[in-house]
Amino acid sequence: MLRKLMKYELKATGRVMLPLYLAVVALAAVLRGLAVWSQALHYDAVTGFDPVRVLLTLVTAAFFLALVAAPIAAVVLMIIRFKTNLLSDEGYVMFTLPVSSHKLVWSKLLTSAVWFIGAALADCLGVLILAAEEGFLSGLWQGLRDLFAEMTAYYAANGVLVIVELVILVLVVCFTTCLEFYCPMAIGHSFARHKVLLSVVFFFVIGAVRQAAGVALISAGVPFLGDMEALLSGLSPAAAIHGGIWVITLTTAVCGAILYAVTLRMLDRHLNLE
Amino acid sequence: MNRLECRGLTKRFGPIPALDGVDLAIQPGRIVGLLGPNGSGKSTLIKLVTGLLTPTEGEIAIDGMAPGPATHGVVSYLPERPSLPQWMTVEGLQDFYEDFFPDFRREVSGEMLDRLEIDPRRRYKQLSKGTREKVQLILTMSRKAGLYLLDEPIGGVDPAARDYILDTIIRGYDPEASVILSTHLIADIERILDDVIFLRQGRVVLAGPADEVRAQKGMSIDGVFREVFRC
Repeated sequence: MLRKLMKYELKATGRVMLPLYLAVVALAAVLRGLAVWSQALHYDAVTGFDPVRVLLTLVTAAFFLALVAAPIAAVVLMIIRFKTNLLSDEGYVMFTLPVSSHKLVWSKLLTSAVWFIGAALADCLGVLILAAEEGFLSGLWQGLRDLFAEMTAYYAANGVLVIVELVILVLVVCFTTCLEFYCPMAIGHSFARHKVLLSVVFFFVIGAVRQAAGVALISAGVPFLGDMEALLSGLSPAAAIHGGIWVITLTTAVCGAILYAVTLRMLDRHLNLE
Repeated sequence: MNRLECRGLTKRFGPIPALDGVDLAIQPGRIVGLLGPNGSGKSTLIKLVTGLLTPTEGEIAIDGMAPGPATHGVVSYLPERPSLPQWMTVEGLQDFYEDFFPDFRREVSGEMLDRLEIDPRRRYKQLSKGTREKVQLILTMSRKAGLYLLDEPIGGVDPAARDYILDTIIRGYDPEASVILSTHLIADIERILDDVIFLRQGRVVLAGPADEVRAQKGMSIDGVFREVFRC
């Protein structure tokens, strides 16, 4: 059922995101072509007007707009889809499907992660198309291989493992970012009135609680700073890299798990559709 | 076994009870009219049975199961207002129902769409409010469900389409299935009702077979409604 939910979620959101990705890549290609063309043309010093350069400026502006719009649209769509599909009228259909609330939320989380990562890849591809010169890709690949080799040689860290750990971290950050919005929306929409306003209020309240919890944790760790310094100084560079990534991943995951539990509780027990 | 059973069902929104100790037992094969004025608790009762709301007190059993994903496969629910995804075409909505409900009968929905001259290639959001309600009712009734919950099924449609919709309800459901429908338009639906439940301020004030109620009160269900809920 999760696969089916994701199919419809991807269809609903892909109508917006795929044209945006296409725009980033297409504008990068056009910009590249115009840049090459404008270099081959001579500037008309008499009239001072160069249509190719004007076009180049316009396409450059459009490209940077699309570059910024792709990730912003992914975030906005993530918020809008949760609200319209689960907390507004469509919720009457979605919450009466023979699927659990877990699957409904996971379909949203996974789809949003796909578009977040897709936006990053589309932007990278756009920049690559602009920057690419002959031998650029092979140079980039060689550079990455050298980086892994140096990491392995110097820090004794497993480059591939670091990549795997970073991918897991990126996914956990994507899910937790979504839940930072889902949780206050689920709480805010459990009230009979002022649902959106209360969602915004709870967004800031949850943010403040997270910061307070972070400060409390750090304060609680102060008496053990000496022990921690000794522990860290005894670590190898490789262990420090892997350990650092895992500490960030786990703390983000714990935060995400709490937000997920509250979101599920609100949807299962306190759903109050408009 | 009763298709639906409610025991001491209570739902409060803050201090205000929307439903107050409702006891019900709906048997298979019955068409039940859930009748009452605005704010009497009809939609709240239906939402509790669908699992969209959680009871404050009491129990609900659908084929012996508490409301949840398992009962959603048995219950076919028509909400009070059009609530299908706006971006989809009518054809896409048929695919959607077919994907999630194994009991969805695509050919039945196709026939009904044809009969009401609704183009399946049109987007849902491009349809008028009345046509959207018809599409949602068609999809709801095209399931071979055990329990149909229809919240105001004919409220937004024109009188000409009402007869067809009511005939669809009678013809479209399995004789072993039960139908609960809430409405204010009692005169229109009276002819199809087997049982009636009158709700006032969250309490059941009258319940029984429609024929018995008519005989006992010496008037139509519409007349009884006007008498019971006289302002």
